Amino acid sequence: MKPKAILLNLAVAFIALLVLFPLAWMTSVSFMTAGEAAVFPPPLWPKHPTL
Amino acid sequence: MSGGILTRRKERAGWLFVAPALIAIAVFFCIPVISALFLSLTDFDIYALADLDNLRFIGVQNYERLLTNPLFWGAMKNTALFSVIGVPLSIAASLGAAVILNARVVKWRPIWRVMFFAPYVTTLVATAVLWNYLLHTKYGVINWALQGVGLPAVDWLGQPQTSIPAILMFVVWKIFGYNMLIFLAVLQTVPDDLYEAARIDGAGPWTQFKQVTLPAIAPTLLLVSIISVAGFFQLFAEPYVMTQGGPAQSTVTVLYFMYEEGFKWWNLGSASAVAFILFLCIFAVTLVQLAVAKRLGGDQ
Repeated sequence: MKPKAILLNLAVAFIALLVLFPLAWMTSVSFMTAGEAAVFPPPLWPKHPTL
Repeated sequence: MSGGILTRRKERAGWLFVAPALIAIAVFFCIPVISALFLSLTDFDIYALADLDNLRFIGVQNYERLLTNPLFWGAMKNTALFSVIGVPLSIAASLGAAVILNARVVKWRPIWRVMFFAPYVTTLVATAVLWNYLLHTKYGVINWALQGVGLPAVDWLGQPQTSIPAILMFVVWKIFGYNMLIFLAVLQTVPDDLYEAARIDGAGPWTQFKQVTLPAIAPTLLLVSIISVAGFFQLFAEPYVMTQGGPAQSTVTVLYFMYEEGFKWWNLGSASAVAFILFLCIFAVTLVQLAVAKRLGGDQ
């Protein structure tokens, strides 16, 4: 029963990661300077957070 | 005698009570639908907008012209593709998430539920623009992840073969939370005794799902599939924001075609005809779904 519980919790967390990533990234990008998001590899976190 | 008067009075009161709703339905539903039907039998275009004298009654010519228009059939084909892939995919995603989330052993279930529902309540256009960035060929996070595991980058929205799957990824991500809630609600009504009995009889998780869960949620599954089909047939904003129907018209849906016909070329009569054909298609598919459900239900 125990490993099954861990597996299910991990599955839920994984789906949540997939689902929330775009929204979280959107929020993160909103704090970047203009053009900062258009580089490769795409930045996950703003270098110089700005409003 | 007095009883008859009383019933008549009660009847009148009843009509009065439902009158506001009936008036609203008549004004906002019946009249527009009937005028649209009339519109679809005329050549209402930009000249008729300027001067109503230019309006001519042309019978079913709009329909005849549409049925010989390859662009219309292309839109029908694209819509069919969207629905055939999208409806099972979105239902599977919703059902899978609901079944996992319904397990007792999962912790913080209300929090996960809110998280899974979050995409559904965010603005469609904002998330569509966001997904355009995620799907970007050069700077997109999705291609970055693909390259990270050694796969080649894909020009998601730039080629006809991948534009429909790319938009479907976005659509499923956006809407699966809603159906998940419906499934969660009905899963919670399945009595635990049934699962217990199945376990005692030696049923594994898959057999339990097939023999206990599926029959219990069958009516809901039918409802969700009917709503999903109607929803996918009316796909419009996603291709409008993400691809403008391109590349090579591969994401022009029927509704997008109708929008262009009506508000780009101002052939409002023809656009109304498209709307009625789409309505008939949705109606026909719903009837088929109901018949299939009846057949399947009769077997058990």
